[in-house]
Amino acid sequence: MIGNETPRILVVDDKVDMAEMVADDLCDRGYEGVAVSSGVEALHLLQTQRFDALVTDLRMSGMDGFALLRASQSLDPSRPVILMTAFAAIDTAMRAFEVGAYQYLMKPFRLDALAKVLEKALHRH
Amino acid sequence: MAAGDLGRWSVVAVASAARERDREKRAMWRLVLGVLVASGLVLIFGGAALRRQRKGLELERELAVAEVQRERDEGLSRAERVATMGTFAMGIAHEVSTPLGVIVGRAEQLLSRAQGDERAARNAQAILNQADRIQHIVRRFLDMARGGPPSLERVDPATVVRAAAAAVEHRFAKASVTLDADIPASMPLIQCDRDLLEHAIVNLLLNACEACGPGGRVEITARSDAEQVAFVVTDDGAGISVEAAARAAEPFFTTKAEGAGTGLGLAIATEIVKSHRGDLTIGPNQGKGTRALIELPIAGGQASA
Repeated sequence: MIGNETPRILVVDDKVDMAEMVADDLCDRGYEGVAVSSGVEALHLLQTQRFDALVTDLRMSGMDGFALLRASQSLDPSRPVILMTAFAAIDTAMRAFEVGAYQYLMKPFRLDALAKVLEKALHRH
Repeated sequence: MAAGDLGRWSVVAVASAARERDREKRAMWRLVLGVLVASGLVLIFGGAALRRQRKGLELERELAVAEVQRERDEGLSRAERVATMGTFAMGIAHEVSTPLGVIVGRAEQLLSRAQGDERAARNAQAILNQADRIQHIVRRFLDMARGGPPSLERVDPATVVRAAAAAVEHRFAKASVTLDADIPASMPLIQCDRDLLEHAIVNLLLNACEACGPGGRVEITARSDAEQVAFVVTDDGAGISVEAAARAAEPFFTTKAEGAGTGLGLAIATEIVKSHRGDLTIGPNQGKGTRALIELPIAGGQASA
């Protein structure tokens, strides 16, 4: 937790079921999870609202997770970004570390794993 | 001796000497002729033998060239096949990962909310277990497509057959097709990736089931000798032509109606079996239907299971 405020987590995946599932789970765990289904929509929210962490899919149509990661870093370099990747995109995820991604999770992942990564990321910042 | 006698003897001696010279000359000519004939024969037969040898060498060279060509073609076709399968594995892995993530996540949520409801918890756990299984298989395919070896362990062939039969049981029941398994009580162990091999056998069983109408029968048997274990799946369905059997392992090749088959099941099974240094052959079954045969080397240095 950051101060007394409920941490707000933006979850981005162009498969809306995935984004909603993750956001729902974060809400169950005491976070405020917000789900969106495009990079552009996510960027708009990052520019206009407070988010303590960003959880995004890597491969998305339109603005992909890599571009969103860079945009988030330029808006707030201290905000942790966690990438969700398919099996086939690990190489890209490794490159994303160089740009400042906090962690990547390979789909399908256990929600407990995401919760642990988030907890660690938010306590660090 | 009178002078006349002397003269007669002289004539006889001269005539005799002349005959002797003639004989020697004829003998020499015979010798020359003999040598010539012998040389001629040597030349004729030697030349023929030489030609035969040269022809043999040419034939051997042509065969060697053809063998190299065939090996190169086979190598290329295998490389193409692996590349195709790799592309598919990557594509499928990517497409499957997100829906699988949703299934896993929602099942976890159900499980955490099912405290006190044992049945609901068991069902949610079953979903999680099956999703884990899909995830494992997809990862193994990816490893294989990237050229990695299968994850080998020593396995009793009977356990693989039993697991494959259990996995397709409901499909057979739904199609009203009987599945019989005839597995010896004791078989040599094989070195295999249990999940992948089971997947290959499941593909064969499902193909056999789909080839049968209601009331049809599929049988899976296993047998072994000193070197290998063979799994045989036979059905009493419509059967397969020799031409279709030859193409059965090609990705996208299917004899099923449009939309009924992807043409990937046998291609995947073939790749799995090949990655285990085995062979998969499809052909007409004696009498009726189709026969699929998987042959795998037995694991070295161990007794029967």
